[in-house]
Amino acid sequence: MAHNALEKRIQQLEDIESIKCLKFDYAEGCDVVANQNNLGPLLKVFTEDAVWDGGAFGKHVGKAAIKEFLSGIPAMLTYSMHYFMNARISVDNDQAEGRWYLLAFFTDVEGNDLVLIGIEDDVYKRVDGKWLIDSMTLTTHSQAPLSEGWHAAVSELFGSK
Amino acid sequence: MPKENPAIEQKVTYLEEIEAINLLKYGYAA
Repeated sequence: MAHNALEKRIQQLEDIESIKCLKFDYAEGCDVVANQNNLGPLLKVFTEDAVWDGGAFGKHVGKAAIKEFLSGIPAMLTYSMHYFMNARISVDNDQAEGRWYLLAFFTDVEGNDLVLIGIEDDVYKRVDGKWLIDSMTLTTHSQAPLSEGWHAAVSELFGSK
Repeated sequence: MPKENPAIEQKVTYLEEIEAINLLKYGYAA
């Protein structure tokens, strides 16, 4: 096999691994916002023009708008823990797309424990050699108190069988 | 990196196959 082709295959594997690490940074950054009132790590994962589309949580365009939205999170949540799983990542040179399953646990300021189930569709861009999130679109299946469960929301989405 | 290195190529193929099996399992989950 030609030298160049093998290098491309290795680069592809490295890019996928880098994007997985980027998403781990995003998850940790989300939790640091709620748990430590620190926006710094999360803002580092976005491009300047990034779009954060949280559906019912609003669509925020540009890093400044994302920062403004995030600054309100600690007043709503006292705890959060995000889990991203089942990554499907495709890379095309300096752009990539990813789909992740999301399971997140929260405690709101009134002491309610909440569970969020959803899907995140991302677009990534390589900027100055570093992968960043250029857009994130959240599709929420359910966000409800743990005591209520998710059956009501998912029945509405997919019907009861 | 040498122009032809079967050992490295085998390792790359192994990593690609792991990624492909991950994607297969995620497809199964979806």
